[in-house]
Amino acid sequence: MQLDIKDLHVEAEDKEIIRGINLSIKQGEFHVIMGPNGSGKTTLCKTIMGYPKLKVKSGDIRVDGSSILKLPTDKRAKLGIFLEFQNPIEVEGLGFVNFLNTAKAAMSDTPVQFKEFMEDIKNSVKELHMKEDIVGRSLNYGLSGGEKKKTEILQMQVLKPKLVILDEPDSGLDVDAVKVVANAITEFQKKTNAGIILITHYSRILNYMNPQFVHVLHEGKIEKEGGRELVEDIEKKGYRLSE
Amino acid sequence: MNFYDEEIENAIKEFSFMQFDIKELYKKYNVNIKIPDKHADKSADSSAKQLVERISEESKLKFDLIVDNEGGFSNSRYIRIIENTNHAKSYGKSDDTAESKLSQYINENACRTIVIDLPKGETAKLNALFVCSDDMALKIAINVSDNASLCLFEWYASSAKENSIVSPLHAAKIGNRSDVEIDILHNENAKTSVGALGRITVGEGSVLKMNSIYNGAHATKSTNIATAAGKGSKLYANEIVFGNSEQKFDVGTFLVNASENSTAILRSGAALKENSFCVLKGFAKVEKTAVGSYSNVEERGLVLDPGASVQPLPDMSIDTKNVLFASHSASTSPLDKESLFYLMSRGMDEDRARHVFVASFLSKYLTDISNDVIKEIAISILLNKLNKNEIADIPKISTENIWIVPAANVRGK
Repeated sequence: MQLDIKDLHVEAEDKEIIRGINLSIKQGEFHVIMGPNGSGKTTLCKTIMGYPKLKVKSGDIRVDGSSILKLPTDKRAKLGIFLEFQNPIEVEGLGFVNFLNTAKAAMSDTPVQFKEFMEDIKNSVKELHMKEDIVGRSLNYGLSGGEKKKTEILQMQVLKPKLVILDEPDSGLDVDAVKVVANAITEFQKKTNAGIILITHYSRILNYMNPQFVHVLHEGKIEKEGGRELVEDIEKKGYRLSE
Repeated sequence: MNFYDEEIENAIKEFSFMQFDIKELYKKYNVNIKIPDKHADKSADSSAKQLVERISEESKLKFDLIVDNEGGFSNSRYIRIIENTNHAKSYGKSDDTAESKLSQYINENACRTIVIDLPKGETAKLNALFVCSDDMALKIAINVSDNASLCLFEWYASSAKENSIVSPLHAAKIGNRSDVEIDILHNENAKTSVGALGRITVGEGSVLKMNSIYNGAHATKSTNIATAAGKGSKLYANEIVFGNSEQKFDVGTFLVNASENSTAILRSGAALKENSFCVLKGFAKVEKTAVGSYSNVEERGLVLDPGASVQPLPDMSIDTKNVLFASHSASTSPLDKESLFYLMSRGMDEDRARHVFVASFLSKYLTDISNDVIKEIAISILLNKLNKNEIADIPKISTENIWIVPAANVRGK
């Protein structure tokens, strides 16, 4: 899968948040988007996923050459796009396994093989160092911020998308958990050759990962692009790279 | 006097005199059900028999008690059916509340009393089916002795072709160190209204779980008083209201912490479609004697269409300063758009996402039902109504949805 973002302009409540972004992500590539608060990182993620409150004023988002702007969120997910939410919702009463099974069934053309499905969950729980009781609980209900982020990664592993958008997967995680999550993402990409867009404020998680492309977002535009060395510059100088 | 006559008399007396609608808001949001002046307990017609057969076949449940307008049948040694029941002393119309009128009506018109009597130390799981084809007033007396365990499931259905009322009065007493679960499913057809009253006291160290599902009937007025009377006794009440069309529900549950270290928790959830209406009147009373008690009333409304309306009116009265926890809360909201976006981002189309969200909302109130078969019945009926919009339809009871209900909630205490 290849995702192309062409001169994208996005508004939220009549305020322009994204102001002309161009970006291409090919299968197997690992991109990092960094930027200060309010630079438009989460808006960009949600726009790709089709968040209804955001309005694309101009430009395009294409998957393998076809525009997805008119597709509803579920159709974008079925193409293989997965958004790991910055603040995952809680749904009391929605059993986690039931939810994930429903999602898996919605994404697949063939019936879900329950044994394999449960095996996938079991392996992910182990890999992510999660408590086993997660399978019997309501979706994210009563979980800590860190546990919620891990359940998002678990969903990614089970649903096996082609393009993963990770919106601050390191927020709310302790030092050990950051490493666990980083390793899980890296392993997932090795196995599936998925394209990855990782959004983060801090370079901490990147100590355990090897992104090929780094983009710095500022006031709705990509201000600077480069490789891993850009992360080190940001670490030294902060986001005021042009000064 | 027999225990059951005594308990029923106590209940009639309490409902005759207790001024439930003294609160202005209770008066304002009140569902009126038409109580007949007098009713004749007519014979069951063939439609009731057919409904009994259908429910038995679809649910695969073995019923220990079946009651219709003609009479009742039980093969359980714990159940007795007393025809031409004695009526409790009339207390006259002490006030003008619906509960007073209803209790008088049941007292004077019930043709039979169902007595469930569980001796000391015994364990029973009982399933009861009540099918009415016409007005049906019933007295149900339950006595659970010390160290006993009862799981009672009551399924109310109707085949009424003309407007009718089903009106059960429960009078129950639970002894010490006993474990009781009462699951009640109201799935009457749209010609039927429900006027239900219940009074239950729980003894020392005992646990009562009451799970009530209001799914059927065109109008429902249900009032229950449950008292944690014994030291360390625990009450857990879960209520689901699922309405559509023009259905109306008035559900009042009064939990009383009357003893030291007792617990009373009420969780009510109403999901309403189309033009349905529901008022939830959860009330927790903490008496002076309830030192170190825990009480909580939580009411949630989910409004699925602009014409639907939920009025949660939780309240408390606390007469002691020394409580472990006492709180009440209420919220009503439409379907959350952020949640829909999240579910859709996982490949579910909008209809499926809505379905999953509503099913989740309802199923969180089923977690205390211990019997998986009853859970299956409840979730199948609720999902069927969600899909088909028909009141009181009997679907195929499927095991495939049982895992919709997550594991039991972690409690506050």
